[in-house]
Amino acid sequence: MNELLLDVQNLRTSFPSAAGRVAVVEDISFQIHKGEVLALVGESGCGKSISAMSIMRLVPKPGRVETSARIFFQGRNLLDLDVPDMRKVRGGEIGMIFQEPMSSLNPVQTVGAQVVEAIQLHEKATAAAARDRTVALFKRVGIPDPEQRFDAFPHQLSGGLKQRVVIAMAIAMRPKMLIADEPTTALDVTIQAQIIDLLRELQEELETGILLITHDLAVVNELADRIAVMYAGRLVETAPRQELFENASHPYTQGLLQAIPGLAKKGERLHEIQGVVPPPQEWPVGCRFSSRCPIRLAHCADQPAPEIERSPGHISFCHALEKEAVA
Amino acid sequence: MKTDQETPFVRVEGLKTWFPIRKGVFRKTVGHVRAVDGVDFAIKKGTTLALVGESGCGKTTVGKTILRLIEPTGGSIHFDGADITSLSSEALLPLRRRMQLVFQDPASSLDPRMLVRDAIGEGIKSFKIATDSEAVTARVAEYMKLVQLDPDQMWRYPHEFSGGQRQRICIARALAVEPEFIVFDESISALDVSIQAQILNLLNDLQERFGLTYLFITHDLSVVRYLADNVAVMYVGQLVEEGTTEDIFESPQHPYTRALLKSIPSMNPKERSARVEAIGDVPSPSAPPPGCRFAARCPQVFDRCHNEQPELYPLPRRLSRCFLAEKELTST
Repeated sequence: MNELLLDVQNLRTSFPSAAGRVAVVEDISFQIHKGEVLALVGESGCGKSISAMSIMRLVPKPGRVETSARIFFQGRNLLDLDVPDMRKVRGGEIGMIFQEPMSSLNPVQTVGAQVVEAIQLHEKATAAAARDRTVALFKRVGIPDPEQRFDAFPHQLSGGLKQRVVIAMAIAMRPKMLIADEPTTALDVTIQAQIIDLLRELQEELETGILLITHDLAVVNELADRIAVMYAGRLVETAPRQELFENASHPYTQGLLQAIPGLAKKGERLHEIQGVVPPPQEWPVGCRFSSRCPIRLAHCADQPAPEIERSPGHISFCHALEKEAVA
Repeated sequence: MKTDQETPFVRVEGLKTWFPIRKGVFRKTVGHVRAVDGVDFAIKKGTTLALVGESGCGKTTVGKTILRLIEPTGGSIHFDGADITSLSSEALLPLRRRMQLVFQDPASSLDPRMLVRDAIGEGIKSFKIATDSEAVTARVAEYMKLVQLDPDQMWRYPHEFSGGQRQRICIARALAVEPEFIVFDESISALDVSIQAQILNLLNDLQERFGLTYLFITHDLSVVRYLADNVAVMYVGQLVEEGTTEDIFESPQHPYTRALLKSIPSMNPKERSARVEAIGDVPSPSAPPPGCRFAARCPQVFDRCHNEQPELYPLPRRLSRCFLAEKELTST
C-alpha cells in the first residue's frame, strides 16, 4: 500500500437549528493513500460536499466541525493548524476543483492572471516566471493556444475550457491531493469524457490522491479506486470500486445502482427507492435509511447500524447483514 | 381522440429560428444567430421523440418554437394535422391547452409565493375547465394524486417540497389541463438518481394511460434509451441523425452520434471507457462553416466535408447528415 495521505477519523459537522445543533455529517471516517482516487457518493443533501469543506476547514458559519474529529493530512491534524498554516495547505498541498467553473473564477480578471496570483500566493516567483509556468500548465491541461488564452476573460472561454483553467490552478503547486467536488457535472457529455481523461492522466503522472465527490455513479466507475457511499450524513457502505458495483450489500447502495436507467429499454420499469430523504431534524436515531428500507428490521430505527466487514476493505453498515453474518 | 397511428401528431418541416445580432446606436441587424437552422421531424401520437445534443445546439429553441413561444423565422409547424406556424395568438389559445411544457428547474418555474393549489389550478381556471373554487380544488387534488403527491399538501408553498416533489407539481400543473402533447426540457436533469427513476416511471405510466405524445429534450443520453421511441441528434442548429432508439444506440452512423455515444461514461465495472480523442470546439451558430458543421471535429473528415453541406440522407433505417451515408446509399 502506498503512503497514507489523508486520514479522516470520526468527522462530525453540525449546524444550528430550531431543535438545537444538528449533525449533517456524522461519524465519517475514511483514508486516502498516495495516487488513490476515493469517490464519496450520495444524493443531494447527504453531506458529501460538507465533508469536503470540513477537511479544508471551509464550512460556512454557523456550521462547525466538532473537535472530537481528527483530520490527519500527512501526519498533521488539519484541525489544529492556525489560519496562515491552513492557508498554505489550501491550494498548496491540497488543490480544489469545484462544480461550477464560472463561479470559481473571477469574471473581471484574465484567467492567466488568476493562475499567476495563485502561484505567487504560495511562493516567491517573478511575474515572468509565474507567467511561463501558467502557460505550461495551460498546455498541460489541454488548453489550445495557451499563450493567447492567458489573456482571455472567463466569459470568453467555453465551459470545458474554464474547467481546464480551474484544474490548471488546482495543480499549479503540484499538490499531494486534489478535492474534486462534482468536477464534470455541469459539463456536456463529450467535454465530461475529456475532463475524466485529464484527471486520470494527472493522477497517474503526479500520483495525486483524489477525493472525488459526485452523485454520478458512471463517473465514479470511470475514475475511482475505492467508493464510499453516504446517506443522510453517514457512511453506509465502502468498498473497492469493482467490489461495490458487483457485490453491493447495503440496501441503499443496491437501490441506487438499480435506479440507474443504464441499459433499460422502453417499457421496462426502473427500480425506485420508495419515499424521499427526510430532513436532518427527522433523521432516525438508528440506521438513517431505516425509514425507506425494504428489508427493515424491528430494531433498525432505534439502534445505530453495526459495522460489518463483508470482505477485506468492504464495509457495510446494516443490521440485516449482521443477522446474516451470525446465521 | 384520433387513433390513427400513422399520421404524425406533431410535425416540423424546415424549421428555422434565427435571432438577430444588433449593434450600434440604431440597433442595426449585423447578423443572425442561427439557433435552429432547418430542422425536420415528426412525432406519432402516443410516442416519444428524444431530441439530444450538447448545450447551445438549439434543442431548447426547437421546443419553444414548436409551442410558438418563440416565433419561427422559417419552415412550418403542424399540430394534429393543422398548420399552426402563423396562427394569431387568439387562434392559438385553444391549442395552448393541448400542448404543455415542463422545464428543467422546478424551483424557478414555480412561483414561490403561490400555493401549490393555485399553481396547479391556474391553468384549470384560465381554460375554464372548472370555474367554481371547489371544483378547481377537487381537480387539483385529483391530479396531485395522479403524480403521487398527497392532496392534503396543496395548501403549501413550493419551498416546502423537495426537488423531486416540485417536479411532480410541475408535471401535475401541465397535466391538469388535459394536454395531448408535452415538451419536457431537461425536466429530470436536475434530479437525483433515485428520484429520476421515480419520475421516469411516472412519465411512462402517464403516457400509457392517456396516450400522450412527448418531445423529450435532453443532453443525458442514459435516460433516452429508457424513455424514447425515436431519437433525433442535433448539432449546431441542424439534425445530424434520426432514427429509432434501438437503431441509433446499436448502430449509430453519423460520426457525431458515435462520438456522443462513446462519451457516455461506462457503468460496466469490468470495463472502463477508452480514452476519448481530443476534439475541438463547437462552431458558432452565428457563423457556421460552409461545409459540414461537424467537419472541424470529425475523425473521418475528408475534403468535400469542408466545402459542401451534406443533406439528411435516407439510409434504410435512419436519416443521417453525412457524406459517408450518401456513399453508402449510392453503393447499395
